[in-house]
Formats: sequence, structure tokens, C-alpha cells
Amino acid sequence: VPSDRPGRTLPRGLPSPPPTREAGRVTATGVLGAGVVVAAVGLVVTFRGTRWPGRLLGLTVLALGAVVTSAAGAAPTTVERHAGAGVVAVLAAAVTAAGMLTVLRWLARRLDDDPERPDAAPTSLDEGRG
Amino acid sequence: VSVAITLLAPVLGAGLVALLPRGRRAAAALSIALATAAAAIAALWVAWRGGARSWRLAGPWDTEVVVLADGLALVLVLTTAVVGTAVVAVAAIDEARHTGGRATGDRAGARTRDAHDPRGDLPGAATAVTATVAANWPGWLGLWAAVQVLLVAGDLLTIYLALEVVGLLGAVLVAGGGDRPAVLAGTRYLAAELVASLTVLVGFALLWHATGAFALADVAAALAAAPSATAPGLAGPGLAGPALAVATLGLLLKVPLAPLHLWLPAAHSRAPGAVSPVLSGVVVTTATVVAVRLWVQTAPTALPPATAQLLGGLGVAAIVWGGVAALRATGTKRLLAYSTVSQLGQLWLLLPLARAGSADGVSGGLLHAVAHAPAKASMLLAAAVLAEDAGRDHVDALDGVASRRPLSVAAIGLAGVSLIGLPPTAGFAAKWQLLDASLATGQWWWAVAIAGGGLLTAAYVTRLLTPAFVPPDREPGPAGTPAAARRDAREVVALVLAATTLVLGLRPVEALTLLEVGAAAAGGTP
Repeated sequence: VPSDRPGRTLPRGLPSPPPTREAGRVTATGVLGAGVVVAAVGLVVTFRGTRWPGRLLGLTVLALGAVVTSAAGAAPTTVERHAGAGVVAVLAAAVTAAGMLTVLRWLARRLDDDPERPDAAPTSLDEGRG
Repeated sequence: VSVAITLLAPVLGAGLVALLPRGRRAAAALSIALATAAAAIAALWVAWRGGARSWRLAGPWDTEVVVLADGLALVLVLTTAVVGTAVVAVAAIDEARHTGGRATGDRAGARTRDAHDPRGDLPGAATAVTATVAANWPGWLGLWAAVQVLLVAGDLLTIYLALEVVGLLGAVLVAGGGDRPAVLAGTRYLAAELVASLTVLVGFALLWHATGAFALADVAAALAAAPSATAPGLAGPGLAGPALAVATLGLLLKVPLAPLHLWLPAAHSRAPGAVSPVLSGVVVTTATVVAVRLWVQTAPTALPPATAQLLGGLGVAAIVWGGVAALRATGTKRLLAYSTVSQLGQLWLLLPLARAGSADGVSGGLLHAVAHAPAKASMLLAAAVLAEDAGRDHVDALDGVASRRPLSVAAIGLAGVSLIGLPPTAGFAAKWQLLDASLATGQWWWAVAIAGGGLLTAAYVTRLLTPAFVPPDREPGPAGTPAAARRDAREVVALVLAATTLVLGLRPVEALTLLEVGAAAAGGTP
């Protein structure tokens, strides 16, 4: 079996080495799947949370999974024509998610600091009344 | 040039207003709103005469921003500008009144700080029209800018980022009401938006992986070149279907459709008077626009017919749930917020109609969004005036208000006629188009849902208006004398906004034609 290096051959019967691009794509697919699983776990934790700390933890895990997924989805081996844009996309996604989480944490802390908190402690993401 | 001015004016205006002294902010915001509206009219005129256009703006590191100036984007940009200008005008008028009133100790809304009813009887902070906008003009203009960017965005990254900014600023403006219920509503709103945005991001990332493209046009080309039927699996175009499904799940929460809508009524009813109209009239339609971009324009054959029927079913659930909840609500703003849920359900009926190949269904659904925006904004502006007048936001507080505030009641009535779908309003034209498309595609069940939704709307609009014509038990005038009719400029603005549904209803063909400009190539041509 001819090799891509001059003067070397691979043992007969073994498959040819996959191209780097294909290997990168397979890796990206694996990371993509892992990111989706992490995001799904975060989603479950968020909706099962009955207090803001629990929800924030779930949202953080969800954000982590989403950013990992976007990193795999926008990997240079995937979006070849816009490899740099892929990096920008991941950074932008991470920054905006972190920003929204920060604002949410700040608002949740305002609720926790409220002296009227026991009267209206949130039990779900919706108000569900009226 | 007109598109650039339309997009940049609110962005630059947000920064400019932040630098101005507080007393000059309202006037500056009004100038920016008028400039944006004029540019939006010019952009739509250019599209009407010359057809749709798209631009690919190249940035550093291979980045690319795609701008779509098609009929869908520009009509909704103009709708946003009309609603935005009206709200800014009302807020500016109200700010001037409050500034004058404060000097004489007659601060409007100060008497309404105590009552709190979880079913919707709001305290005064939510009825003061400019309570937050005056303090947060930059945030308000930033929200407007983000909505416009979202409407014209033609690539997945810009769409995602704009969705994030719209959600963030919307929640901050809701929480800016200041009291605990407003902060709680804003926090829940932001949590829901964050879940939705991140789910959309996961869907978009899968789509990037499936197609290797960011721009909607490139995604459409990749899917057309390698349809999923010939390339199954989870590493190529076969992933596009699941990717779009995940993104749609996030959009369903953003819209929101039943049963994911439960964050909306609190957020929209607790928001300050000048924020609710924009949220209920304009912001809610943006997620649907993204769904149309994805399912109708980018991957028209990727939506399985059964899934299209499921999405339509969720729309029907929203129609019924929102309509029944509106009938039971006690607060005026909460009633209108549930009405928004119900109307959004009708909007989503366009997807099963589009899947059946009905262009009329798509344009009818989009016209429904265009008709709903000024109608709902007008109702909320008028409701804020009435709530301020009555001292609380409660349907029972509207007793006999027609004699005191005839213009506000007229605005609610006229906008209500459009929401119900009666001629000659734009709501009628939109629902007629949807009904026609339902019957033409053999999906009669959607026609039943639209007709039922109209009846529910008629019931809750009647419930809202009936007390206004019933003489109150006790006259609020001094010494038992009947209260004289009062008018102010804010009511005139609300009535003019409601009248736009009438104007649009008299020229529905032009509106529908404009919405269809560039619809075939809206994915954006390189």
C-alpha cells in the first residue's frame, strides 16, 4: 500500500490513514455530541431547580454545553471558508452567555436581598397566576 | 443608505442620549425615533421600486455579516419604527407632564403605590408611563436597535447575538420597574430568554456542523446540494433536521407558545408603561421571523409535515390558553398580555400552511404580525393612561371611564376590532388570508381555530370595554359632580396608532405585496 511519505509503505491490509480534515471532523462530531449532552443536563437541572442558586447552576451548565457545542460546530475543519469567523462565533457566544448569566445572577441577588422575600419566594420560572 | 440610517440611528442615539442631561433626553429620543421612521419608510420605498437587496459585509478574521433588505424585514422594521415612535412620543409627553407636576406636588401615580394583586392589579410603578424609560432611554433605544438588527440579519451568528441582546435588554427594562414584582418578572424573563437563546445556539451550532456555513443563503445552498434523504447520518446534512428542531425548541420558548408561555404575562404586565407596548407589539414577533427565515426560506422542505402540524397545534393551544386566561384576568395589562399569547398562536399557524406550499398562508401570518403590533401597542398605551387615571390597573377600575377618557376607550375599541379580525381593519385582512389558505390547502381545522380565536378575542375585548360604558357607583368628580371628559396628547397618539390598523386594512393588497418582496431569494444572494 503506497504511503504519502516517499520510500515508505504501510503493511498490506491496513486502511489508509484518514485525511486530517476527516479526522478533525470526526473529533468535532464527538465534541459536538458531548456538548449537546452537557447542555441537555443543564436544561434538566434548570427546570428542576426550585430556587435561584439551583437554576443558575443549571443555566451555567447549559451555557457551558452550548459553548462547547458551538466550538465543535464552528471548528475550522467544519466551516472551512470562515475558519476565523468560527473562532469569533465561539468567543461571541461565550461572552454573551457569560454576560447574561452575570446579569441574571445580579437580579437574583436583588431578589434574595429583598426583605419581602419570604412572601414571594419563587418556586418556578413562571408566575402561573391569573 | 436608508437601511444603514435605519439600523444605525437607534444605536448611535442610545449612546448620544446617555451623554445628554436628563431634561433633554426625551426630545433627543423623539428626534432619533422620527429619523429612524423616516429612513425605514425610505428603505421600504426603495425595496418597493427596486426589489429586495442583500449585502455581505466582510469583517476581520473571515467574519461576515449578512444584511437582508427584503419585504419581510423592511415591513417589520417600519412597523417597529411606527410603534417605537409612538411610544417615545407618549413617554416624552408624559415626562414633560410629570416634570411639571412634580413642581406643584401633583405627581401622577404617587397615589397608587400600595395595592398589589397577584392576578394583575398592579401597583403604581407599572402604570407610570415613563417611570423607567426616562431613566433608561439608552436601554430602550438599544432594544429597538437590536430588534431591527434581528429583523434584517441574514446569518446565524448575527441572529443569535441579536436574540441575546433583545432578551437581555427586554428583561433589564422589565426589571427596571423597580419594585419586587417587576424585578421578579424581569428575572424570570431573563432566565427564560437565556434558556431559549442557549438552546437556539445549540441548534445553530449543529447547523454549522451540518452545512459548514453561517449565512442563511449558504446554509440553504448546502442543504439543496445535499438533501438529507441522500446523506443520512449525524455528521453531514442529515444533521440539519435535528439542528433546526433544536433551534425551533428555543424559539418556541422565546415566542412564546403554550405551554412555554408562562413567563410572558408577568413580564409584559409588570413592565413600565412605555416598555410593555414594545415587548407585546414588536419583540414577540422577532422569534417568529427567525422561524420563518429558517423553515420557510432556508430549509423549506426540511420541516416534516407531522412536525408542521404539531407546531400549528401548539399555536392552537396558545390561542385557547391565552384567550381563556385573558377572560379570567383582572388586571388590564395582564389581560392584554394573555391576549398577546393568544394572538401569537394564530401567527404560528403560518408554518403548517407554508409546509403545504401556501404562500398566502405565509403572507397572511406575517400581515397578522404587522397588524397586531400597532393594535396591541395602542391598547397598552391607552391602558396605561386609564390605569394612571383610575389609580390602579384593574378592569373594575374602568367603570364609566368612557365619559372621562373617550379617546383612550376609542383607541382600545378600534385596536380591539382589529385583534378580533373585523373589517375593514388589517386584522381582518390577515385572518381572511389565513382562513383562505387553510381552506385552500385542505387544512380546515386551522380555519376553525382562527374563527374560535376571533370569538375568544371578541369576548375578552368586550369584557375590557363593557365596564367603560357602565356608570360608576360613585362619581370621582369633586363634590359629587360628574367628572368632565379629559383629553391629553398621549391618548391622541394611542388613537392614531390604533388607526394605522384601519389604514393598513384599507390597503391590504399593498401590504401583502410588500411582505412578499424578495421572499423567494430571502436567503440572501452572495
